[in-house]
Amino acid sequence: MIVDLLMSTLRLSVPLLFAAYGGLLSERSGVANIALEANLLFSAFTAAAVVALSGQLVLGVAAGVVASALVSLIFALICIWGHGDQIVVGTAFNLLAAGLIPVLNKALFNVMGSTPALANTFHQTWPFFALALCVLWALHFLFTSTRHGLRLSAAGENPAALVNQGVDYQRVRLRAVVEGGVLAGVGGVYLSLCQGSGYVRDMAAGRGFIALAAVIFGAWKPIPTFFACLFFAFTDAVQIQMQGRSMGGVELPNQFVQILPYVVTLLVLIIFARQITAPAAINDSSRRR
Amino acid sequence: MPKHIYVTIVSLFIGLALSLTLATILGENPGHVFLVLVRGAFGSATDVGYSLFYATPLLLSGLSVAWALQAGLFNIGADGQMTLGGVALAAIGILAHDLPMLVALPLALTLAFLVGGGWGALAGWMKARRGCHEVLTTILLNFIAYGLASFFILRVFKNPESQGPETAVVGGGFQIGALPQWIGGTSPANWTLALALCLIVIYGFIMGRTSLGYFQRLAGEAPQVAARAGVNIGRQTILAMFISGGLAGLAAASPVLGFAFKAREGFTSGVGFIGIAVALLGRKSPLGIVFAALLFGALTKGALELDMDTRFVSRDLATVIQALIVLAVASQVGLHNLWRKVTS
Repeated sequence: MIVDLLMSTLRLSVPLLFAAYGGLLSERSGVANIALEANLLFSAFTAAAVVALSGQLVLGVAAGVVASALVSLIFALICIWGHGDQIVVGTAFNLLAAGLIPVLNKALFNVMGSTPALANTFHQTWPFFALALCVLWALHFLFTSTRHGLRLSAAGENPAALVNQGVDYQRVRLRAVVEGGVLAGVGGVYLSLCQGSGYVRDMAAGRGFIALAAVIFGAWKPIPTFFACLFFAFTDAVQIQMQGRSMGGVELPNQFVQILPYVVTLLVLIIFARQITAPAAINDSSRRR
Repeated sequence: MPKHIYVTIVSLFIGLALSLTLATILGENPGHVFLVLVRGAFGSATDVGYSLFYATPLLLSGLSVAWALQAGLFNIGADGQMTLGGVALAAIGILAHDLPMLVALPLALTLAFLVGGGWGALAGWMKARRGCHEVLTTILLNFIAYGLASFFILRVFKNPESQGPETAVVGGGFQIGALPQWIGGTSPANWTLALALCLIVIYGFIMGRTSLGYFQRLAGEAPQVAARAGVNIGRQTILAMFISGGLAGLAAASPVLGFAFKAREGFTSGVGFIGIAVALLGRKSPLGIVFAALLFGALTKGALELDMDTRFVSRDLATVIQALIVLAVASQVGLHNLWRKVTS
């Protein structure tokens, strides 16, 4: 039971981790990214669609990651070059995912909701989890000891300082958001090619937003964010274990069990948000004209 | 012509052009798709009525988002607030089944406003007192609202005579009548439309002429100035989210009391989210909201026909168009710079 719960936690943590890494890169550079959900959905769909059409897992992974990077690139261009409010643009991207994916799905497979079920998928979680650990180390290294990491943080905290040094902080942000898109794309690919077998409508189920909460809970730092994701994945694992079970003779309605991860996420925010400060220059592009 | 009308027209054009390009890539004739959209929305009196029917909740959800925007808040939770408002409408309509209309409707609408408003105020409280960003909390509250609504619909007020995920039927006094035939044909367009339009007029009055509106806007546009002037920003935030949530709760009136006479699972069909697009395209102004809601209502109706009359695209193209329009509106500064570069 305990082992089941822990294994399930690891499995469920993978999409959260990669989405949170993506959010971390983007937010640390000063771009508030609520489009993470769209990243997950687009990459999950693209990966599943490409595997369904080509039969090649590797092609699917590549296509999913590229799709997510492309989503992030357009998102960043509109935020930075178009001076769009990052929250408005992010919302529009989530709306776009809700509309465009079903349209593409119908055009490709002539069905409304989901791609055909895939015969070949990844059966093992551990390579993804190992990759998540490697990325964690890389992110930690990036922020503590590289020039790109330093500039990235400066773009989020005090872009004027970068301007004084002759660095184009908008370009730093663009790069950070796209790199974040690549990482979030891995999370989406995992959803449709490992955790599930094919794309199902809205299969991210708010994980992009929970990942964002994990970034806040982790105070925009890689290692605390990692543990925040594990914690949220754990509540999801508990939720799945509790479904259909009775507690002291009384059956808990499934609806109450299913909302547990969202309730826990909210409670964590309520309790801790006060003590955590966001990057100072987040979402400033719409103000700075 | 004022600049913002120009921006709106250009944004509409960009959104439509990109979507029709997409339809072309997917194998459709763009002229045919456009014609299906227009004919579907305005082809007959009944089609127009359906467009009005789809516009009705959008007027209120757009108004909800606009109110919060006035106070500097981004309410992405309108869909969840609307969902709970709808459950409240169905619940009171079942529990107080035999009330006469004169009592029933005011009671039900007040309750929906309070429930939706309470759900919104929760996010307002989290923002004002606990420092949680309202964008994240309202999204999470949406998921919780869907879960709670599902519980009440399936477990508490379930329709015993139906297999579907829906509540029992509300009493006759709770059912809002259809609009006369010369406006809505035989569509389910109902008197909630008049209620929505009245509320939009009141909204314009409050924001432009009253101290309530003044303080709400001051808290949104210049919070530091407001705080210096002795305005309690936290209280303004909670109040704004309460009213915004309440308006979203009322958005459930048309689908629940004016059409189905019961609450179905997922009855909002994303109206709360499209309300964001309505408020942004309408630039928070009363006339703008009416225009944007009517346009998006017509788009929703027109796009329904795409499922039948085209081979490769579906009704979801409406959502794509709406998203692209919002993106175009959001990047107006960049587009303007580009335009200047091209023309100079």
